Amino acid sequence: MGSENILTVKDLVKEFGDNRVLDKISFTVKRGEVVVIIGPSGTGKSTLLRCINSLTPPDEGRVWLDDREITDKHSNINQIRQDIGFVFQHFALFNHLSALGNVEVGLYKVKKMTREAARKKAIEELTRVGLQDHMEKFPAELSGGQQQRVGIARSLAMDPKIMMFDEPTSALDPELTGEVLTVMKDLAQAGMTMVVVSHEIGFARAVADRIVFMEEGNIVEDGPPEEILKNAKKARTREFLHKITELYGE
Amino acid sequence: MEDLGQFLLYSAIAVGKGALVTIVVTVASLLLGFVLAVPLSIGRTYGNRPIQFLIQLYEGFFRGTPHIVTLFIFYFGLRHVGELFGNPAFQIAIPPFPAAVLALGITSSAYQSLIFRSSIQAISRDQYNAARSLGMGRWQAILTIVFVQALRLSIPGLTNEATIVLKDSPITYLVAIPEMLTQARGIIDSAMGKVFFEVLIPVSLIYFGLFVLSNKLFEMLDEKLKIPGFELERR
Amino acid sequence: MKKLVAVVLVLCVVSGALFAGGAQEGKDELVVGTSAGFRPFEYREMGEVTGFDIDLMKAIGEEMGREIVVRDMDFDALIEAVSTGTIDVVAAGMTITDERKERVDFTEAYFVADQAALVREGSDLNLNSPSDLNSSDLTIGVQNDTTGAFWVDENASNAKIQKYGKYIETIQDLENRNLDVIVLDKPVAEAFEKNRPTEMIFVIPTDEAYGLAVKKGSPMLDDLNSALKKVKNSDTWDALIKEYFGS
Repeated sequence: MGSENILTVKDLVKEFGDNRVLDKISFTVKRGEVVVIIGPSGTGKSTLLRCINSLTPPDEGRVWLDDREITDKHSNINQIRQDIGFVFQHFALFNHLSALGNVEVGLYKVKKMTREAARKKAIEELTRVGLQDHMEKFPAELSGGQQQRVGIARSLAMDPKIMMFDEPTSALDPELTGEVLTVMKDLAQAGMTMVVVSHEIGFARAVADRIVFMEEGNIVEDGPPEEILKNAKKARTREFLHKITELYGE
Repeated sequence: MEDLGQFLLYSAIAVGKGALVTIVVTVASLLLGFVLAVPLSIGRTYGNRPIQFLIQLYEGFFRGTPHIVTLFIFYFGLRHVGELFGNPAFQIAIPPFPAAVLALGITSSAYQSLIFRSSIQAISRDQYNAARSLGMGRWQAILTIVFVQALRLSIPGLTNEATIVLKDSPITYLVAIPEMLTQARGIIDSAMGKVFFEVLIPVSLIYFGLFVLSNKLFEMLDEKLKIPGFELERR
Repeated sequence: MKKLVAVVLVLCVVSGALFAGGAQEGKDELVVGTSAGFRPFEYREMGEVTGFDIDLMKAIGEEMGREIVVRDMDFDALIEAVSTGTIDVVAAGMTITDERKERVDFTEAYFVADQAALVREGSDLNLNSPSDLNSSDLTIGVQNDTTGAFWVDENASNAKIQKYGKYIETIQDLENRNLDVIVLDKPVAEAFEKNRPTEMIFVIPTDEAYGLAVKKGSPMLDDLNSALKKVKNSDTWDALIKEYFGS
């Protein structure tokens, strides 16, 4: 594995009953790259992300983060996960903890920092996503956009090598998507390696280094935004983009 | 006991002692139930097949058997256990108080386990996933993120369970526990039956008072553990 | 949240201590089984079980160098309890009978009593002797498993017989007119006669003797008997008789 590739996925297979959701998927992500994955619902995009950090262990295939194989039974999966940030579609914030609590918990429970050090870092991260005035609030008291930003801060606080986003704005009201996408854009510009599953073509156009189109468990096309968005090679890609732009108007 | 004042005083003392025993038996049983129900509910939700099966048997037995029968098993039944192995001399002899608390407590654990399990299941799987994504181990995630919230959700169910155990406590008179109802009957007896409702009504009121107190305590607990924002929809 | 856990743990420890306290039945303690509700032999006062039998056992215990622990239960549970070792000795105004001797061993008798018939004051049932009780028009109440119950089963089988766990329940049903007459031990009948609107109409001479019961073959029997003998010959005995039966 070349040190350029921070994430390597090889021949990933996942089946749910008779449904082959991931059909021998392979791809790589370079350090600092932003990859946006698009495609029709239910084609396995979320599953792909969950297989990468083994939240849903794949049936076949191998995944490496740098040169550590995540799919190896002898690897310390918990340790590897600290280096992979995961942002959930429905935020998955810990309801019984405040925004601050959510961000610090991983720091003192997993990274074993002292409470003071954890608190300090948590405040930094929350400030970074613009929530310095809402730190004591609980998830139920925050808007969707704010909750998602807390989710991002929570993952960032662990200083991951790569951040994965599973449809981060799909559960948000349209007015709120902006604040989250802004945070993600800043993150990309700061050089974070990101894999984002999303419908937000505007975001992809602005920030992605590569767009990957997935359908029925396969990668159909993979290329830079200008190419995919303007001049997709495959008909299916073009069909899908056409539908999307109708829906989301862009 | 011609003197009414003396009668009232003696009776109050007797009932007071009984009430204390009732409270101690109830609280001890609930605590035992709680301490057992935590691993039971977690094991039943996250454990492997054999563990789940065993816990299911345990829950089924103690929920399905009349509580009086369970009580008899612990106090009388276990003394005969040697006979099963052809060694009648061997006895498990448990004195009244431990037998009562074991019987009521283990029975309660079967019910509390059910309460916790349903609360655990009510917590979205992504809470667990998010915890694991941060690098938390399986048990760390289960205990500190999922179970903590499940406990909070379990408070209404536990409030109810406390009432049930309280109302179960009089059966312990069968194993020589001098709880409140026993004392009430003793007073009626001492007064040669001259009083009956005069004793039973106040005693019923005390049971009711304990019920109200128990509910209030759980309410206060609920209030204290309230998650801001979460409750807004309830009002 | 941590505070809550701490509180729960403390409560657990306290309960555990109480638990353990109960779990250790001191080897030196003599566990006495009785059934409160049989004045003046055993009854509840101010929450504690007291009475002639209790005080007698305290005195016997002293002679034997052991402290007594009293367990109050239903009368018909006592023999089973002493047979399995749940209790060491029964002191409950229990009459020595051949049937009972098959299941337990008795000490020498410590009290002699007859049975008696008790009716509501002013009821004119025209019952003058024990044989009058054998009438199908009568409903007779007894405490379950007692010699009064056995007598009635044998000698008044034509009557309707109702059995109860405690004597006080028979008194209540007598007053409710669910029963016509109760058959019970004479000393207890006398006590009730004094305190309730009831009348002891005649004595059924049965010459029953009360004994302390232990498990069959129990090595404790000899010690109990010698302690009982010592107590009977002492001033304590006279004082007890005076306290409970001297009127």
